[in-house]
Amino acid sequence: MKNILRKYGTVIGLFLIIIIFSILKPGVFPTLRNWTNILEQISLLAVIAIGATVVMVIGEFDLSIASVASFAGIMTAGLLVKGISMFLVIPIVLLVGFLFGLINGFFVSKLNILSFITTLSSGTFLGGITFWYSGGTIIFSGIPDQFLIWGQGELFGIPMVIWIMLLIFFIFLYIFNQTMLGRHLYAIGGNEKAARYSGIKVEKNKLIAFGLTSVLAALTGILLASKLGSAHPTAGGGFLLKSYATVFLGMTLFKQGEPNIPGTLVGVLIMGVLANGLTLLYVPNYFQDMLTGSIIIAALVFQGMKVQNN
Amino acid sequence: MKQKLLQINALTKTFPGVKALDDVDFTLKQGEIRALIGENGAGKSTMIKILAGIYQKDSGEIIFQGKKVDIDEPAKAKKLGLAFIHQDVNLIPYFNAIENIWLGFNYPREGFKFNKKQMEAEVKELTDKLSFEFDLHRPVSQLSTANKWLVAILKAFMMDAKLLVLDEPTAALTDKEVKELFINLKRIKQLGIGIIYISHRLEEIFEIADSITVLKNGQKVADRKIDEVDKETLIKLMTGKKALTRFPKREDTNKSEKNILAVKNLSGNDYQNICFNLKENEILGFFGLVGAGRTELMESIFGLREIRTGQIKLANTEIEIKNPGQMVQSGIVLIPEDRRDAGLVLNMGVDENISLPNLNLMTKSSFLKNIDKSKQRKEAAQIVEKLNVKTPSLTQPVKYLSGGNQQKVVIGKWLFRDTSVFIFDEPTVGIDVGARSEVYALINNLVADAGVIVVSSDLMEVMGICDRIAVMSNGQLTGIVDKKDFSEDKILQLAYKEVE
Repeated sequence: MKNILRKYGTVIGLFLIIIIFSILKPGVFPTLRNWTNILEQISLLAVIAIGATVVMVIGEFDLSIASVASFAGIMTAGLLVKGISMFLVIPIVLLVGFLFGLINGFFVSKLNILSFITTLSSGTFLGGITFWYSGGTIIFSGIPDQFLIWGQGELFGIPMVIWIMLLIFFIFLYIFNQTMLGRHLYAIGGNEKAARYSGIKVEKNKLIAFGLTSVLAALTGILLASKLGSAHPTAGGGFLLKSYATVFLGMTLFKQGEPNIPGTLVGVLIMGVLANGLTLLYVPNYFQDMLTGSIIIAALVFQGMKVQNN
Repeated sequence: MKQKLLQINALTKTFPGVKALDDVDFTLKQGEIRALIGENGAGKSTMIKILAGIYQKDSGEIIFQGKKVDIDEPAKAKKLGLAFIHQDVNLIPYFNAIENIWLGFNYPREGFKFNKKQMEAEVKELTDKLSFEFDLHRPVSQLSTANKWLVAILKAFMMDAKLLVLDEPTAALTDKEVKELFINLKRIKQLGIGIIYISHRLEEIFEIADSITVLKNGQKVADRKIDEVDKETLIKLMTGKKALTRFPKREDTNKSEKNILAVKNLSGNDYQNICFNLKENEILGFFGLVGAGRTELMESIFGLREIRTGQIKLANTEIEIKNPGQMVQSGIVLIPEDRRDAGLVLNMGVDENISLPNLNLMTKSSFLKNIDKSKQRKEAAQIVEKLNVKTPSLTQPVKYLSGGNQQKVVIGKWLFRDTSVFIFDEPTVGIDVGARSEVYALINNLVADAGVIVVSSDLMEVMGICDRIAVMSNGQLTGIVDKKDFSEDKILQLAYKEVE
């Protein structure tokens, strides 16, 4: 029993929360409409958190993801307002996000600077650029309606953001479980020296990891701008802590405690279901924060017990 | 007649599915150094962990200084005066010896400050008593491994230890450092301290121990005075095999005169002007003291370190060394000394560790680079079988394997691809006699169609398995000795040769 709890505690926790809300709000919570709503709510967090998972796999942090998301939103909106086609704007912004990640990766892998400090600084720097570019204000007028399809549109009756989240989820699930790149990233995170001695190009792989994290942050920023129909220079701010909280929650899913894609999705679901259910119960916002914080700590305590038992 | 310090009667400990200790008796007198030997899994570490209070015994009794004791937690062992010093000596690297020794005790104070003078004085008193000599004020990260052991021993004395357990103290020491450590251990024993000495190196046991206890499969198979046994008997007792040839004989098939690797005038940060050739079907040893530059040289050839000048030819073609990945592609691999640190991803399974350097040969599509998992499983299973790796399953994380089996996995990683030069750095450090001879046999097999370099600080080992021995001292190659001229004196002279 104890072992089962330890092994599947996080997933059992998620189901418990779902059951409790279903009992407390029977006609409202467990409905298709509400679940579509929950999935739509978590989709952006899921995309940026999957990105955070990538750098966490190699044992690094990227604290610039929120700044990248804000910047991507502003840049997208700014270019769209100038009348440039979104089919040009979106790839350009994603590319810029990727290049920014490569710069982070360069400082970390080639110059051996701690990723924590590197990305804290580069994120602050990028935040400055975002303010400068936007003049510190919200950009909303002149964004073509066509662009709103990503954040507000539907495909086969299901919100587009959910499709995008699923697509990203399966791509990265595939990368980490089935490809050389994924295995190399896990090897670097597990033992960088052994990876190097195995002939793996550690620097190159780290660059790619930072690039992927950053490109997903940029995608999140673009989707957020589309969802809101506007871009704010600090729009992505709320994502930073939440995305790492979900990665840590997800790490409790497996015995060895490594960051992993399905775990991150479970983490995002826990956060999303809690926020949704508590709002349905009219629980005030501040209490929601307190509860979310406690649940994350509880999950990590479980994880800590696992490490000790090894 | 010296008094009995420790007496263990009928100690038994069972783990699910294994009887780790079965009715084991053990005695240690004051001032006695008793070696505890046995193959991996014989029960040595279980016994030590029971003494340390980490495991609980199932039955049996422990009598310490004439009193029956119950060691149910590590703090209890510490209180009794049992000190355990482990292979990976646990010290804080940027603290100096004095600070490390005092760690865990209340630092003496003088008003608002630490009383550093008193701290130093008390440590000095200890070092004088034991006649230890080394710099107490340097961060321990800058001390030699031998001196780190002395710091750990001092720490034990600080807590008034009556019994020391030393686990593989010489694994990372040079012969010279081993001699120094032994002199110090002999002083300690004269103070009436009892020492349990665990080691895989039988030669040194004859130098240092007074008596020997041999464990095999959880049972005590022998208790002898040191002068009652010889090495062959011990090996027989440990392995149960009649006569185990320590260095298995190599079948001399084809001796090629072809140079597979030629190194000319190679210089880097830790070595200068190195020239040597490696022939196909040859085992070339690299002997020297720690710090002679052997590992650094090999790591440079493998692309891990910068090369300043020089030339390297692989099968008569000059190559430019960029990084390990490129060297693996060209057919040079290095099996590192520290397998846990540099050879394995401990959390990954046996199969994933074996396939790690070979994933590019196991992909289904060259665009997606997706791994053919059934191929990975098949290849890993073959290597596990070929090398006789003992593991419950292919996906078992390697951190749960024993040292010998871990080493086999590290070697197994490289058996999958075509390789022309294998470089082994200290291939048998910390693994038991049985696994050792398996590793030697494996090297013998490899040399049938490749060249092998073996870097080792174990003189018997290089003399036992190599065709030629290159000797380095202080970053320079001081000589290469052919098999017919092998002699301890000659090789040691070269290793100690002073170069500018």
